Amino acid sequence: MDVKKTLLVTGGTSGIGNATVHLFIAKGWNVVTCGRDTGAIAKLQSEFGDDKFLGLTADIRLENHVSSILEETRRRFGLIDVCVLNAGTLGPAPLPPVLKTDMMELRRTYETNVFANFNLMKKIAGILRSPGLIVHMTSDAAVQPYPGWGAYGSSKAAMRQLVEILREESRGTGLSAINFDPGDVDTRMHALAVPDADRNALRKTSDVALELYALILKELEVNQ
Amino acid sequence: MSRYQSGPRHQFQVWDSHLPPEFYGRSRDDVSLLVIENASGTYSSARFAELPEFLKRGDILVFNDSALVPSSLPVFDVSRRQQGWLNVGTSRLNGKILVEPRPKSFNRMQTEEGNVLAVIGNGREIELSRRHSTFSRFFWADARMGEDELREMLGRYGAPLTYDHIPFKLPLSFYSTVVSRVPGSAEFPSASRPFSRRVMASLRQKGILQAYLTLHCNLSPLEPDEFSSSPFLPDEYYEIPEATATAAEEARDSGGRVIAVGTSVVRALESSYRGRIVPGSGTTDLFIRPGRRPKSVDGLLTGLHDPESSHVEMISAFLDDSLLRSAYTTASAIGFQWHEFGDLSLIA
Repeated sequence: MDVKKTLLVTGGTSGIGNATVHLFIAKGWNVVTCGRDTGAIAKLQSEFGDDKFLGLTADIRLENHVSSILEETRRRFGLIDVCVLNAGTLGPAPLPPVLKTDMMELRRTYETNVFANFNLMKKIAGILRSPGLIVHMTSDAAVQPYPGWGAYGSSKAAMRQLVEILREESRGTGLSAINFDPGDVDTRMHALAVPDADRNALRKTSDVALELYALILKELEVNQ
Repeated sequence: MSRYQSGPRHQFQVWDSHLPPEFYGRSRDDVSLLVIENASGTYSSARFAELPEFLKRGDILVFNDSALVPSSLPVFDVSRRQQGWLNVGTSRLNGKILVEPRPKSFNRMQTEEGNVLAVIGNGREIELSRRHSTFSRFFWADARMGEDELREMLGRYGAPLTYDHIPFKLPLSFYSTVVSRVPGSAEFPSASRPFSRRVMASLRQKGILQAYLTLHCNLSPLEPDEFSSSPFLPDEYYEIPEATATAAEEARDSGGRVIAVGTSVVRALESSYRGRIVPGSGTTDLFIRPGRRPKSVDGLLTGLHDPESSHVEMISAFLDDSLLRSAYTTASAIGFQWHEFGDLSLIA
């Protein structure tokens, strides 16, 4: 790679986000990530050093935290090339049927998966290079009506559609936005949703990160 | 004499959340007003914008101009990998700050003396040094930083303090009011929230006076087992300007009523009352409860409070308990909303 590229991925303290951090660092990118687990962020920081990695403890549901993420990212690496909206919540678990879904829980799920991500997407667009890319981690539950997945699936569907529309609106501007469905992956969130799943049948987070990496390179190339 | 509201508005009752009226497509002054008249032992329902009709020329409304500081810090318990919130109060003791870990489950399970929590935002550690001797859910904490740094941290990483009835943190703008001016409150002085410029103008037009004082609201102990046996509440700083004390006493001398907008205003005025309202500043830990009616004010405009809260204790000092209970029961039945973004009551 000629010029060092910079990735911001939310929720890098575990699961797919964590695998993404590791892979992009290995590929020579600058990586910024944020999460609420202060211990995990500190561990990542000491593992990768200050040179190419910036770990931020933040709660993306809070507006001032999002401002702070942007400010710190900009100060360290300047503009970024790619933002992966990975952080998300499953919502109420065990998964309740729609009519048993609590209104407050539904609102809470939307607060993270829709409103926090929407706010982040809007603000991040201001520090994206051209060509720049926003990737939203979606799910087949955003399309398929799986029983029990009402809160999560509908919130993912809402954000997914916002991203699709942004993609159409941004054609020819140097900004691109895509949804990425990683499939069934062996993560804590999956274990929370489907406690009795056969883990051997699930995708490894590192394989998902590889696919994501290839997709990102292709999108950046197409938009060059 | 009830002017009950009926119709679509009360469908909101089935939504088990208590968000600001703006979330439901209404303006902030579009809330209900429960008017309780102690002298006649009656109560009625009105719209908040009709407030001037229940006041008379020469009455004076005293507002609290303290503004909310985002005092709820997101924190992480590293050893148990769990997020919680640390509500930072306004009291200080030997360099330690008054805090309350939330939610209750987090508090119960996670927190003991000596426990260290990391601030989500900058990773700084706060140690819960010692449990509060009176209010057992509170701690004295060592933030390992000065007051200025703490203030900056709250601004950068803090959020408004909320309880379980609010499903997520709202932006700070929902907590600014037409009167909020001096930052310092940990809890939201919410009684002035429904006042819009429109309502303020209609009050002025009718010759209803307005005055201001400052009282920075501290954390409030919510559980009866915490405060019922205590002779005092957590201390709060207040400041009553000379002009306010003078205007209130003059209004009263001319036959007007002094109406406190919020329980915090009653607390400040009553704390400074020496046969008349005395201007000045200080801290107060006064607990106003039934048995002794406050002398500094003639009426109170306040939200609707949980039946077992220290706020209701104060309200009960103003009126007959059975009247309050009857008014609250009816208000609840016809769809009045409780809590900080809910409906208001005028008690006079």
